[in-house]
Amino acid sequence: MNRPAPEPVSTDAELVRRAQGGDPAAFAGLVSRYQDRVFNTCYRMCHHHADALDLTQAVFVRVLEALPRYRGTANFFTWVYRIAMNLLLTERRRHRLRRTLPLEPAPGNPGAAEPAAHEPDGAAVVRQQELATRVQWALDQIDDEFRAAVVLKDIEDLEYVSIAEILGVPVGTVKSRIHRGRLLLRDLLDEERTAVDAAHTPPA
Amino acid sequence: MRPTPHPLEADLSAYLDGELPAERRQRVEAWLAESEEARRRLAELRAVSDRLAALPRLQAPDALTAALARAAEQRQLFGEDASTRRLRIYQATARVLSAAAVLLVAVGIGYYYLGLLRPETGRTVEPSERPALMGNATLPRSEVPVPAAAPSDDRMAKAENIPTLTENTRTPAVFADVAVAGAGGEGSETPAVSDAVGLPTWHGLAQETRAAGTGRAVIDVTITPTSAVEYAATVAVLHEWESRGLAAPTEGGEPVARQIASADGTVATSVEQVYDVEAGDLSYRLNQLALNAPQQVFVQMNFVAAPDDILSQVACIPPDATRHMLFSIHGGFLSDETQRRAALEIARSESPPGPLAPAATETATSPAPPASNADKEPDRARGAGAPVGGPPADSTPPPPTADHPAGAVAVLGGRTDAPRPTEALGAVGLLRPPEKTPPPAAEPTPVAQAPSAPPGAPEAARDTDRVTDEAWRPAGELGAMTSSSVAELETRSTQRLLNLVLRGQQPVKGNAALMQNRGQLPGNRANIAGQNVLFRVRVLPPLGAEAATVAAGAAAIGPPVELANPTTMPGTEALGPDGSPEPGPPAEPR
Repeated sequence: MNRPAPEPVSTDAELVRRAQGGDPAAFAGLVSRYQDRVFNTCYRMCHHHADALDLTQAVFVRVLEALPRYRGTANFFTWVYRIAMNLLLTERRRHRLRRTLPLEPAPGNPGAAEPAAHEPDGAAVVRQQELATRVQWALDQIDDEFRAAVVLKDIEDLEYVSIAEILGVPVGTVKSRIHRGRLLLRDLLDEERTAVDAAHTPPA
Repeated sequence: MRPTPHPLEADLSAYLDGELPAERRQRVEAWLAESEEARRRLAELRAVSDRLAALPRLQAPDALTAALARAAEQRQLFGEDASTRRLRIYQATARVLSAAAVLLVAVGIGYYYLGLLRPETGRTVEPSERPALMGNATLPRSEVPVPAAAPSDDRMAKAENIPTLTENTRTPAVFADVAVAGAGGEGSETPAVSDAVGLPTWHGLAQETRAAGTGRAVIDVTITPTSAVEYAATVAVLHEWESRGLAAPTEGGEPVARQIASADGTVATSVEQVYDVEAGDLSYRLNQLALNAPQQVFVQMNFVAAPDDILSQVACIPPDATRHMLFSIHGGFLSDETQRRAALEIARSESPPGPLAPAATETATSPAPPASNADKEPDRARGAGAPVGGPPADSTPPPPTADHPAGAVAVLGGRTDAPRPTEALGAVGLLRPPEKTPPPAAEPTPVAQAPSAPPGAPEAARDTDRVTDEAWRPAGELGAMTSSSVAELETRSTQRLLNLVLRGQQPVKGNAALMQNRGQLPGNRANIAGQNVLFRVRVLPPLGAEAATVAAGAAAIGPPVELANPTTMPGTEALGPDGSPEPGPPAEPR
């Protein structure tokens, strides 16, 4: 099934207004406009394709339900992201409460490979995948609050003010979380690289 | 040990992001100009940021867009203005008032039937008073028998602490519960009609879901009261629906008499009537029925769906602290992988610590059951939950815990017209924890009844024995599973979700079922909400001593009765020691 035709000329506010007025195509336009970003964020947060799909759907279902109550005081995209983050963090808390199978392979396992970028160079693809896999693995290791902050900043390229609005925390907290998150990632990547190098160093 | 960080280090990331005010930016720049360590730290942060930014961007699949578009259409959210909201309020009020009216009439009819049934204090209906029917036959409607309570019915009632008719406490209480349910609201202990119809988030789409675009979903509800009192009340409700044009007899329109072969060789005659009920306020109606016969409610949804036509999710909440049970159908989108993984999680979470149960592992990874199973009639096992292929009869199910509340069995299955071996399969039935004794190998999935304590056993023991989470059934019982059958199953919360997602290349038939078998628990509910759904209700009479004997345990079950025209009540087939059907000498009918 093809995606609904996007609404290239309409602003978010216009689409929202039409959706609230009973235009399903307008809602489809909003979904089409933001679903990839939401999905990408969900994937980076949970590192599971299927979970990310489910979460993305849940986000837009929640948006659909809450749309009549949306008054436009916040940027629509920020509002959607806030819903997404709430769902994501709630879901992750739930998952922590129950035993799960370690289905996410460890770094280096082919099963954990990142989706391939569209590069013609096979070696470059491999390198890119390895790097992405390591970065995603490091992302998985840090706490949700730091992960959310760096994902929204470094992957979604949002401003601190928007991130603060999405996460419901002060801007200063966002600043702190981004910084700490990056430091944690740096350390993790350093440790991982050191471990890999040690494993591949022939004994003297 | 790392040195104490520079006071400006916390600003480095914000500096990198261009988020610092001018004054602090200048201070950071001054620090960077004089400190090699600062420059190195900034470079590290930039490298991390760049690595994150370089991660591949993923795209949501088209199927997600389609599912959401469908949800938007089904939601009927748009265009709801104040007048629409008022209309909804009026409709909800009308439903409540209608429910109250039905209750009043139903109470009266119930008493009428009860009076017919037991006109004298403590008197029970003798076997000779039952309809003397053998084989399948039809009865004139005027002769639809009121429950044929066997002498042991009183014993069952005592064992289950069911008041007798003369005490006359149970039926009014049941209907009072219904009234409460109709008047309740969000947050009330008793779920309101509006709860089932309505708005809780996770089943909020229930009423809008089209179970099958090519037709209607049929929800079969089989109710088996365990006492004449419950039976009378339930039949009274159905008759009331019929009189109001809400229900119509199906399957020829006449009651069907069935012979039921019991384990001890006796033959009981029962009468079965199936009603087709329009599912306008289906959840309320099922509530009503479930309340009348809380012991035995078996719900099965059957549907036919075109490829990509249905994204249905069956969700139920097993009894929790407040003993609510919800059964909803609602739109959803869950990937095969999620469902497969959930199946593994469930299997693991319900298993003792240690390696994953082999059966569970196999469940999530093995190919489809043979297509020969696909045509197998879904078992409508009664009573004790019928853990087909489950624990041996002499095994003792674990006591219910907060994680594993006893009393709820959900069965989810389906079948396809053509096998789709490339798709992952799931089976709720194979989510059982590992058994103490392995089931017989290579045996076809038998139809069996679960072990049940003999009549007179302590209530708690029988309650535990009836249905536990061990009673998840193998998919073979219901036929080959559809492509995606099992999804989320929460074992550590009160919410348990069974998701049925059909995204096949072939037209798909399927079914999903839930058995509520808690009994004796006030507030136990089974709600179904749906549109475009036909609600097919089958109320089975209580079986009395025969049923109790049959349910007493598979170990004591003898050979089945050979009848000229036998119609064995589903779930009461006699089994051999290995769980397979075992022939035996015929029994004399009464």
